[in-house]
Amino acid sequence: MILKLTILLFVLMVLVGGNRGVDSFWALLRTALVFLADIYLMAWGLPPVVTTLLSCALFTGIVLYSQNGVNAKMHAAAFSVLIVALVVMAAAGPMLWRAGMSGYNEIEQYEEISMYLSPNLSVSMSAVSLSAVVLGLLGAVMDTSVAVTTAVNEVHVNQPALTKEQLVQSGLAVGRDILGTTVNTLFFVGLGESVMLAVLFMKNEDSLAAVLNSKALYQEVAGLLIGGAGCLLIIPVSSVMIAYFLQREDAV
Amino acid sequence: MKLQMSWKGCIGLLAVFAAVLIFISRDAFLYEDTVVKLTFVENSCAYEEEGPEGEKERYYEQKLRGRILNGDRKGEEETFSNTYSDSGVNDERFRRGDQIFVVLHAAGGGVILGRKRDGSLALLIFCFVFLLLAVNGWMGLRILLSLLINIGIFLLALRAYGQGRAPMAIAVALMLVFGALTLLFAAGFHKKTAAAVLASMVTVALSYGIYQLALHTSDRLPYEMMDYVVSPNDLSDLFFVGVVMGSLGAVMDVCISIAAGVAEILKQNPQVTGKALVGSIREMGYDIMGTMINVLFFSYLSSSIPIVVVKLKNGYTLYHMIQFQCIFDIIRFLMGAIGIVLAIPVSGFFSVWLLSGLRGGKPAQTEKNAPEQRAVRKGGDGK
Repeated sequence: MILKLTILLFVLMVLVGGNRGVDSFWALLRTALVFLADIYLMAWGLPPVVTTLLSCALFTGIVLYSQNGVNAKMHAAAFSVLIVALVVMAAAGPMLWRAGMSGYNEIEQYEEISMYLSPNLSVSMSAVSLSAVVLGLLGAVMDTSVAVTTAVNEVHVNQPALTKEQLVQSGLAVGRDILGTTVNTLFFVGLGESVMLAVLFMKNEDSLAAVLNSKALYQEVAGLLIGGAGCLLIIPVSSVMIAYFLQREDAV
Repeated sequence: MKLQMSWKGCIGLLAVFAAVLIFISRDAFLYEDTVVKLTFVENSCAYEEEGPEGEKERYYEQKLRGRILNGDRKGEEETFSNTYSDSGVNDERFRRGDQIFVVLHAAGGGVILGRKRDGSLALLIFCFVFLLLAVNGWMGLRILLSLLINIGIFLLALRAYGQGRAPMAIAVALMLVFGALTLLFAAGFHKKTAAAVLASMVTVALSYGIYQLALHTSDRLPYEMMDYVVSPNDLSDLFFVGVVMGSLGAVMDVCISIAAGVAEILKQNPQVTGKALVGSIREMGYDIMGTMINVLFFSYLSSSIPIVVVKLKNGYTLYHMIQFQCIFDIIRFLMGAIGIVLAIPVSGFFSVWLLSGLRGGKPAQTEKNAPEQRAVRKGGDGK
């Protein structure tokens, strides 16, 4: 089924996107490979936070530079994405750690499979969970960042006289415009993923208190909210970044 | 740098959030289960165990003492014990200041049920809401309202399902309501909104056909491997509801972008030819497609990373991961991506049809037009 759908996706991308559809598809495959490599390195025993930051750098290379070319727009976008990834790791790490969101949740704990799997892995699960959260927001953050930097670059080309401050403002305005739909996309992805969990809570007739304090809910919601927060954070960061890069380009 | 909110507004909002968080840290009286706040924690290394590949995993004993915050024995101190490991796959480490749920034994001591997470959850929500309002001001409030309404509708649908309605019927109703409401919130009452709603619905219907076709010509999906399985009889329907809902957000995003773009072109140049319009739609499509598919890729596939790491460590193969563990996330992603790509021509067609009221014969022209457009685009990039 996966193979059929993948082939169908490829055919559709070629039909709708032509050559650039093919390019996008290969970029997607490269992304998937780096993603897989990151998981293997984590499982191999390297510190998850380090491997994930490295893969973040690789992802920006694959997605930003190879699809949009090497230029000031993409430098600004790449820097912003890495900054946001770092900030989110630093800010969300302690929060998630404190809330104890890693490891099996109370539902997985009683599933058959977790009885068979050895828990003696010497891999810190809280670091793995944090990596998963950061990787989860990467797509949306890169999307927003590229939109902001390209638009500001366009503004700069049309009106070279604008000051740095004005460029930042136009970046913020563009970011605000696309934010609603991006948050919506993430929201529906989260909703679609949590259908099963919601049905389970309902069938078990769990009390509101039990649901609100459960690790399962926290895990679902944390990814979603931190993803949304990342998308918000990237707007001012990439606005400032692109304004800075454009100014520097002009000065040279 | 000016943000959307004044400093006074920011400080006021933070004060409200702080007050709520302080209340939540003292809300033990609302709970029936006994809540204990840990005042003393002592860890000692207890023993080592060997992992599947010869790893050494250290286990620690925790001696915990805490004050009881509610119930008959409120104010008394009690001691508990807990074990945790370095990996923390199947256990939890507690720290001083944590609040936990316990069952007290009459003879002293008790059993730990779990951590109290309501405060952490609220903190996350507040961080998000604060950023949303700080960056986006009143627009942010509108986004927030739209999310809350959607959650409310989702819960209503869940209740309808609990009362025995068929999942597929609920799914159709949900799609219609979600689609119309969200796009109204995002774009306002406008002809292009109508075009986007129609296009989203048609795209979802098309993906439904594709999904059913692929499903019935393939091996049965290993539904029992899904997360959070409860009732075995309608798993395939429930999974499909999730698939459609997950792709809906992305599909709506594409549809509204294309509809807005077409409306803008028609406004700037009402005399635009059908050919040029199709070219522009393709151009917008290219730009959206790659990045949107990436968004879905990362959001869907990252959530299963922890369990994949656990299983890889336990010697499971990549084949097992793709065919059993992650198959549902991969299918969700692929269906979402297919929805995105489908949405481009579909929304192009509806936008042109509804907004200009004249031209409809779009798909036949697409192929001829492509090379020129690509040439134009490349020329534009070179500058």
